[in-house]
Amino acid sequence: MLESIQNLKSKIQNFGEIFRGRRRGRLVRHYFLISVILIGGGLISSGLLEIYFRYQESHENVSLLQQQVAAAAAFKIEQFIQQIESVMRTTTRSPEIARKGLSEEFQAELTRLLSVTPAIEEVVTLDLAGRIRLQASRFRAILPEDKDEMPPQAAFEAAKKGRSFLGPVYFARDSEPYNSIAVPVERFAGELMGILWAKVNLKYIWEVIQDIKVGKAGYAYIVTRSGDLVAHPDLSLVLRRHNLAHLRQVRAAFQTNSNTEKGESLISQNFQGNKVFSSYVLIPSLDWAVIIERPVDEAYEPLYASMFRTSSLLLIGLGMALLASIVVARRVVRPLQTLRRGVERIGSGDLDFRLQIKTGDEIEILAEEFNKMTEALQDAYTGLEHKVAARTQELKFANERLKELDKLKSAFISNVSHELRTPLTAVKGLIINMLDGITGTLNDKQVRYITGIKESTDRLARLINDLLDLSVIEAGRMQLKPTSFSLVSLIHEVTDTLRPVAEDKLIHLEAASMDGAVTVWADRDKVTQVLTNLISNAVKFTSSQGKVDVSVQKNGPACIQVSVADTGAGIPREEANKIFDEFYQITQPGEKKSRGVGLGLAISKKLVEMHGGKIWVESVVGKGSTFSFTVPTGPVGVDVSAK
Amino acid sequence: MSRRILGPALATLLLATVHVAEAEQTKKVPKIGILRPLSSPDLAAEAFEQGLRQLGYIEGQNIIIEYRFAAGREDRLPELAAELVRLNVDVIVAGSTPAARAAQDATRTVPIVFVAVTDPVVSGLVASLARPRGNVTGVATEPTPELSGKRLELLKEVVPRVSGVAVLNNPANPASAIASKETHKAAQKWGLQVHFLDVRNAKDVDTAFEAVNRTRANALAVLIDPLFIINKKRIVTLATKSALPAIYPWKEMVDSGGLMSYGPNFLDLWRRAVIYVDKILKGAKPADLPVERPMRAEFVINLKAAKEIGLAIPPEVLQRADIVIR
Repeated sequence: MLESIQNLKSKIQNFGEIFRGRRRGRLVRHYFLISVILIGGGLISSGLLEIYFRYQESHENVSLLQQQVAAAAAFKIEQFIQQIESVMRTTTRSPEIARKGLSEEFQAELTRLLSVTPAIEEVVTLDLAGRIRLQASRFRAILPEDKDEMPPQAAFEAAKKGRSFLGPVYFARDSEPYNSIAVPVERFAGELMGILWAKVNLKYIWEVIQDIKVGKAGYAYIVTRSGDLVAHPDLSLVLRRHNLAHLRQVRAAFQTNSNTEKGESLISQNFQGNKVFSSYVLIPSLDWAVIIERPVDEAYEPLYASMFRTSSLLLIGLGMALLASIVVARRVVRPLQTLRRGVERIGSGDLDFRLQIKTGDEIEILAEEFNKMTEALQDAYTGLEHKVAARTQELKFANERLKELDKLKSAFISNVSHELRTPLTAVKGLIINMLDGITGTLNDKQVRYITGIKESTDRLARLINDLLDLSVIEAGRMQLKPTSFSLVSLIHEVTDTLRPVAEDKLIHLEAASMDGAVTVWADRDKVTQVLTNLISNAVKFTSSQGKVDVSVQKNGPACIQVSVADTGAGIPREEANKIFDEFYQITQPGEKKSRGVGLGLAISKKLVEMHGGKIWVESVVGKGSTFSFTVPTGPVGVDVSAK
Repeated sequence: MSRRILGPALATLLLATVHVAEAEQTKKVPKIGILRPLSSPDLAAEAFEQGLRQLGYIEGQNIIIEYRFAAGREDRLPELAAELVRLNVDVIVAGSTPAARAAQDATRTVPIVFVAVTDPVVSGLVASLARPRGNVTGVATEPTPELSGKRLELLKEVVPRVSGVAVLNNPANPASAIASKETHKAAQKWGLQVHFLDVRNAKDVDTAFEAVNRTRANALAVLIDPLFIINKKRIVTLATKSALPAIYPWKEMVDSGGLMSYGPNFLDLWRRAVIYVDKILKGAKPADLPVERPMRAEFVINLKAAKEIGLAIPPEVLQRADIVIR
């Protein structure tokens, strides 16, 4: 149970991932959208077209049906009036008329007319002078001879032409619709005697109209051109003299071309403001219109049902299309995603991974190619690893050998120097003895030679000392013995020692005005060695009339900087970094041979660094150089061990 | 978000429940009050109830009908009308001009539908036929008030030798004035002597007939009043006894042995009244319901009655009769 839920969960997540196209996975969305647009677009457009055509069809059907009803109603109404007219005409063709004209005998015909035609309420015969000759009424014994109840001149005019006359609709007591019909009374064709004038109660039309039903709630009514209701299933609307002239269908009905007699339909509001499907037909002979109204909802009921069906099918179709496109998109994209994940895994270094895609299409081939590529890559990678390991091993070995050699070299230099110094000391002692005259008085030449020998021996001794120092430093056996001492007095000592040499070369050596209180914490001998070296170098490389300045200044809170500036030839920039290397000798322009072995600066550098200081040079070719180094003022942070 | 929707939704639901509860409370069975001058239900009442049933109203279930009969005593009408108003009826159906007037005096709010009223405008019940205004509307009895005159004309046609006509009239009826006027006009036209005999109550009927015998009247015309319907048997019997050819406004009197009648079908009028009641119960205002007048009048001749008084009816007149009772 739990497992299946988990399974489902992961499926849903998977689905979500595919659908959302996580990590640039737009392909699913793409496929999905394309299929939705294609399938959905097709379905929707066909559905809409279908609905549109159904609507047209439905509209036409409803319209046709209602117009047929309207036309039938119009026919009935017209017949109703025509029948009255025709009965009236028949009445005038009585033999009494032929024999005696408008005589009392004709009265019976009028009474008969009333009994056969219920809609006629009153009937009157008038002679051509407009006098009432005979009369019959359904409800009245005496007819008032009111002017407005008498036929108009137009009735006589029509009679003269042998035609019937149809008066306008009027409302008795301002409530009940009536109409008058006049027919000519002729003794025989062409000899007019008067007219027969009937008052027709149009409420009878109500009996015709109330039976007309269209669908469940559809009804018919009749209006005059002025908008007066002549008949309506709801009689009270007629009796209240409801005027419908403002209704669109009424206006439209009377705008139709009376020649065509063909009605039309439209959707509009009825007098209550409800939406109705209206059809109308004009009755030209009466100038009335029959209007059929049916609630739109009812008229379009089949259409709505059909629209609902179509929309439901459309929705189902769309849903299926969506599902199908998701399935298709998944089927197309899933192998691609497997491929992507695999490639990602291989890309992250898992070269043992192989893609498992069995789609039987191009993607499978691609995966196979990729697997082959991975295999080749794996092979190459494994070979490379082996080679690197071998080389590393070799290098390690060589490195160890080199270190050993370096030790051997230091030991060798140390030994050799030591071995060299012993005989040299003996030579030097002997020479001093000879110069002191222990071996007898020397002539000038001998003195000059032996002095030369002594100088060379001194140089050799210094060289050996230097070498020995260097080897001691490099072997890590140099021990500093720091004490606190006055740097200024040390500088004076050194400058005093070297001043004779400087003066020999006419060089002005000056220890610049300095504060005597400057004390440092260092090995005095070593600092002496560094100072001696720098100052003697400066004197050595400065031509006569030049100047060497030694100065001291603070460098930071715990350091003193000593600078030795000369006015020598200067050091080119590219060589400035190399002059502190062992055995490096600067090639002075115009200088034939060097005057040292190039160890002084190297030793100075190592000594300064042993004190935790640093040494550097600033130089401008042709102007001079300034060598500076720093010495700590106290024991803090002083690294006493050489490297 | 959800809170914002929930609040109004709950409030609406609450209101809706309250409304439903209120609607259920107020949805009471509508009551029709019927005020009639007669003493007991007749065919008209039956026609009315049948009409209601056809429209789906079943008495006791979805409609309650309260009858109040004045039994010919017009002075009781106001009291009965007031009683109906107290009963809180939804509509009052008044069966005569005095009944309609009594109802109108009793209430200006409860809708009133009249049935047997000759001319509601002249009687002051409505402002006009098309637009009644106020709380009164209904079905007029006569297609036109001049029908009384027409009856005299028919009497003359049936009995051409007639010279004087006795006319039974209840001057207390507001419709009496018009009817009398029209009768006079017609009599003048046909050269007849008319003798108006006032009948204000049942006792007056006998007195009136005694008076007829003193006049030279050789025919009888009965004008419209409920009193004449209530006493139809007595009137018909007396007329036959006096051998007076008589014309009545209602077929009911001919059915009881009267000679002839000319007037609208009384039952039809009551059936039409049902439509008014239905519209009013569905919310229509009486002021918006125009007064209807009957379109037809029935000419009924009773040949048995004619035989009894030895009267021969001209065939051409008989031909025109809508109903001939043999």
